[in-house]
Amino acid sequence: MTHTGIPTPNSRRLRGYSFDPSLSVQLDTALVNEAVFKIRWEEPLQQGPIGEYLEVVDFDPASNCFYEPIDLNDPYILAQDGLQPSESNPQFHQQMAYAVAMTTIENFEKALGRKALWSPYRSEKSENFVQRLRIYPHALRQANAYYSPMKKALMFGYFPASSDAPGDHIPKGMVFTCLSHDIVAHETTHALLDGMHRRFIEDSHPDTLAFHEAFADIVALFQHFSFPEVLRQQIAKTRGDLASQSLLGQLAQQFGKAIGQYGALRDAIGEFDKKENKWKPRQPDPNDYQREMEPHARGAILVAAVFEAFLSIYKCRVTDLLRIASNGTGVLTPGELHPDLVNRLAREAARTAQQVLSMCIRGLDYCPPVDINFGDYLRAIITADTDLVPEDDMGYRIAFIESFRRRGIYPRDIRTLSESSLSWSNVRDEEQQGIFKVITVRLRFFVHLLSYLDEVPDIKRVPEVSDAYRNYLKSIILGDAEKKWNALDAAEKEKQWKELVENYPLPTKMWRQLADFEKGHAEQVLWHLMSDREKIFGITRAAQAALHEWLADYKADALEEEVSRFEALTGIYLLKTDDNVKKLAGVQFAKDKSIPKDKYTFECHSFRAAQRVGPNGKTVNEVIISLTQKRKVPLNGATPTLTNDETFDFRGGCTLILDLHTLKLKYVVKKLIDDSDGRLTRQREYRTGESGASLRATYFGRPSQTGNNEPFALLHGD
Amino acid sequence: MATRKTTSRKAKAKPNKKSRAKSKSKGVKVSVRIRMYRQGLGDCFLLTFQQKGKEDFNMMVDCGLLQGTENSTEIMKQVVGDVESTLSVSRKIDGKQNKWLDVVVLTHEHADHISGFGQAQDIFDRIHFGEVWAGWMDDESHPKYKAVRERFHKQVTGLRAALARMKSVEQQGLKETVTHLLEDFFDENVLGVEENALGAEATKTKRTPAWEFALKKSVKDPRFCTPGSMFTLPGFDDIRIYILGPSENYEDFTKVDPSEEDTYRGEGSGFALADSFFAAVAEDSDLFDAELRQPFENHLRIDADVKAKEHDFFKTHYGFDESPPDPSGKKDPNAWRRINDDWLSMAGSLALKLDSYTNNTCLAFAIEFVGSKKVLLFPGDAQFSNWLSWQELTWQIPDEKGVKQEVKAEHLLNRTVFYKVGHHGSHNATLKKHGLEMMSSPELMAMIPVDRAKAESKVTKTNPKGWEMPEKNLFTRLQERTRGRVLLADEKDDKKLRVRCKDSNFLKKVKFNGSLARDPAKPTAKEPIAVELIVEG
Repeated sequence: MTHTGIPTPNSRRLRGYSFDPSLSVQLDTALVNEAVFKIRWEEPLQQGPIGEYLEVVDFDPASNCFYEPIDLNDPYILAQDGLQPSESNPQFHQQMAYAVAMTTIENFEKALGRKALWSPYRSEKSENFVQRLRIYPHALRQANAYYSPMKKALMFGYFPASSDAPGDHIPKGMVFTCLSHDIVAHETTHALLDGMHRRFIEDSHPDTLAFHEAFADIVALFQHFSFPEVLRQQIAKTRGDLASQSLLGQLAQQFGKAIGQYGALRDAIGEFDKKENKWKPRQPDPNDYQREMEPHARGAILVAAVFEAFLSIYKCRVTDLLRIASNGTGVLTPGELHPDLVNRLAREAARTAQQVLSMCIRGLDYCPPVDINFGDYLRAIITADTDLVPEDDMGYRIAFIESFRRRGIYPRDIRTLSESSLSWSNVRDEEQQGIFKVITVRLRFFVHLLSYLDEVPDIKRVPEVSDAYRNYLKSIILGDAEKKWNALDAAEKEKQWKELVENYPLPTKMWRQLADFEKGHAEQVLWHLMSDREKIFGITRAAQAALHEWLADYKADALEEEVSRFEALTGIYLLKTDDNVKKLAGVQFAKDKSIPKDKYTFECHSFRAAQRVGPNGKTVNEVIISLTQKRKVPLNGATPTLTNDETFDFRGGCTLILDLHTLKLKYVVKKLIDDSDGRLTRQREYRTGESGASLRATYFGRPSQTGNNEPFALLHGD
Repeated sequence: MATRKTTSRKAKAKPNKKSRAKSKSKGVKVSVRIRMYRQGLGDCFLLTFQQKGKEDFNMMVDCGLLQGTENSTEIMKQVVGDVESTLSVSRKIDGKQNKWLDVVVLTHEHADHISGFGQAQDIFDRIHFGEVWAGWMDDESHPKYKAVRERFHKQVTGLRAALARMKSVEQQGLKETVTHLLEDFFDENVLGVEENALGAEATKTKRTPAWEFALKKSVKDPRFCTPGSMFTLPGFDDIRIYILGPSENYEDFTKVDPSEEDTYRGEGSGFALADSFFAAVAEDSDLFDAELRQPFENHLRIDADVKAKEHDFFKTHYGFDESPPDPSGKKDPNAWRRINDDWLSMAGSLALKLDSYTNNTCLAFAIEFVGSKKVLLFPGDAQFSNWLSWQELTWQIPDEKGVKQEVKAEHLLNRTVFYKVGHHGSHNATLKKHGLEMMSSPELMAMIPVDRAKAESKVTKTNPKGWEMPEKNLFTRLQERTRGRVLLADEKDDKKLRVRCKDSNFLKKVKFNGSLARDPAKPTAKEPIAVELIVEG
């Protein structure tokens, strides 16, 4: 549709619950529980809704039925900001899930400064682009909701509320997880995180799954602060003290109450004392991190740490306001706060929340590619923030360090808990190597492609690879052009072609009948038909492939001494030497016939460009790559038992952060595969340990050992 | 027959009073021979209390073997035959002169604990059971009895319906496991096959025939034990029985997992949650109010079998191709994202819960020798919430001077010298902090009724290792705690025991005896039928 002269709207307004339906039946919160989500205007947006990122398909297998998809472009729906919130209307459920998931995606993109991609779908031979995350709002009849990495889908359940402790429901009334802002945001975040770090779903450390959980909670929590009405109401209610009980720090209230708990499912700052029947703030305990092993409980420690950091920053930022409002004493007079003060406090809270959330999301770029733990994450947050905002005059980083320390979370291998030692250490000049400079220069080409997506990538300019390899890269980016072209229907070919080269005879022919220059044009047509994210996916994968090629060449022709310096710096092993063989039992050798047999295989796990501008105008222009390797090692180590033939994949790898301006390697974040830090032993202990101490583990096997297909299904269900 | 009784009860018939004169017991050394039968994955223990001047007092704790074990009937007949020949006392009851077994304890209704009462009925017909002990939950007159049984029936019916629906390839592993959980542990008669014969109402509370058989054999009224009670072993004033579990709090035994408070888990929702799932899998059953469990009004539903298949949106975006999924995803781009069966995976959790409820209904008890304060612990297969509930119990027990002293479960655990390891050594049936770590006696020894080869053979797609029984860490800790004094039912001699344990006094007390031919086709391949040891009181 074209609308002459009228600019495309910026946003689409959709009504929804700011928390979940339970708050709409409580007098004090009913008025603020209905929020209007302002989400990006997507065009086209089909029925479903089906847009660029999401597709909602409402199948309810337990009830053996489907529910009619909503058309958000229906003028009646457009005119009233979407359907009115209602538990009994499945179309509203679709709208709500879509609105919250889109909000979450936008928050992510804003912080990272690039488009979000879902993790690829792996069929038998290839990795394929997944354009849309699928949302099934009524997939399960159980008190559960999860992200399925296999199906790239969010599965939401519904269930009757507990009959003995109904909370704010009628007993046995239905609770829909897809109507909870927190649960939808949480599950969407799982999917976004999996799109960035697909190895984080491997249960290799007590922190890995807990990190996934915690991160998803953090995103859901801080999104509460983007609803101005709620924020003002809660600030007025708590008189500006966000550390006391407020809705903002709680997650999934209806769910928590419906399954028979008294308070919310999780509360970042306090908990409901069942004996005394009242809410109590939780005191941080430095032993928490050592003691708590269950993923949600462990994740809660991280959530609490981040939330406390937020609270301290907020307090710091509003002390002046409070002094102004209290004649310089800082002690507020009893009674209600002045509405202006409430507004100002709310604005500070919203801004702080946004900044803290962005810090947390940006930290993801600086994480190791595998086996993450909370200490690593703290270091990643600090480093990312130092890079962007060198002067920490507001004390943000101190607040993070302090609150992590209070919960006993610190990296195992640093000497002091200062900002400078927590930041990943800068690669020193004498450690720099030519190879990094070479790689960075060459990768600039791909960064350039990412910046100008409307141009068909001129793959001939990829530096330093053979022509055959260029064709291979082209096929990665464009897919099978012949097939794609032949699959287009004649009208589509004609229309696109016309737009591209006017007054040209229309080739609606098969690929083989096209002349070479026509093929060139046809490729342009195909390129234009791809969505931006598909282009990014293709370019990213081509960059990974090219990088792999360059590094494979490097290990083939570089001096052995040089390569071993590379190995020492990155922790990635390339050459089979006697020394390495001793350390690295179980790493695979290259099978490719063109490469000599004495090379280790490795994977170019990811390639990301990060271009950001800090508050002081400082620009960060980096390219982030990660390389990984795996070893097949016996599960039981040196002590054979009844079943000692079992093996598992022990992964190592590094994230390299390269500066596109200086062409230097800035940071190496690595997980050693040679076990010189005892990580293998710890991982063995974890994998064979009491991690799954439940009856489920006896009969169903332990999740960490059975290569579970749906890691989040069990974590959330059962 | 069964009337509800707790601690104080009158003995109706006490045969041969003379031989158990109370006055004699004081100061005379008493000991108990604990015999663990080696039938396979299952429990059968024979305790023989011996005191000079008295007849032996025999107590059998459970008698069962996991369903699906090869030659299980032949094996159990040999076991019960051995029990019969071991009993030294006979009595004439109702004109029948039979061997006399003073007490039979039924811990819970899982096949691996009771199947023998069915398989070896003909031999049991030649043995009188003086008194059968069971948990309060088996007392038909208990106010909660009906609710518990009906719930059990619903779970079983619903789970079987779910199993019938699991057809997709990805769910075969889950299906196998759930099938194991149901059919290895429950008799086919309680799995709801014979509805017609009994009528719908009776079906809902149906018990395993082996269980009913054992209960009916009780010469005295069965003793239904409630936690917190204590009584002395008939005829032995200085041997006390403390009943630890199952808790009378319904919530306690439906709670199955230690960490449910902070997760999406939780049985707090009563059973509405399970029933709404069952309503979907068992559409035809009238147990679950299928229509009420629908989330939306009828007119909003687009039937998946007919109407949705004609709906353009769903044809394009969901797809209804029934042919097996094409791995390349080319033929039907929707196939890999369909969710037709994912929701059924809840059956796994529900099957586990059923198993846990049953394990948590275990009669758990401790036997105390008053003189030496030594304690023998028999928790059945009690799981974590059953163990935890013991912690709240207290007994007021007079000491030698008659002054009442408070006794808690912790004290009993502290003094435990013999531990029958729960649930064949799985790691959720021996509590750590409130269990094994409290058993601080330097004399501690343990028996694990386990068959490791059988447990490991329970391989499914989801669990390639089979069942981990005993669990490695628990086994290690047990060995540390007991200094190696651990007997496993699947060891037919003491070779490995001698590697584990250097305590020569203990090794002297261990005996392998009797003979068992596991395979009737090879009657000459024999091994000991039981392992036993003697604990001095």
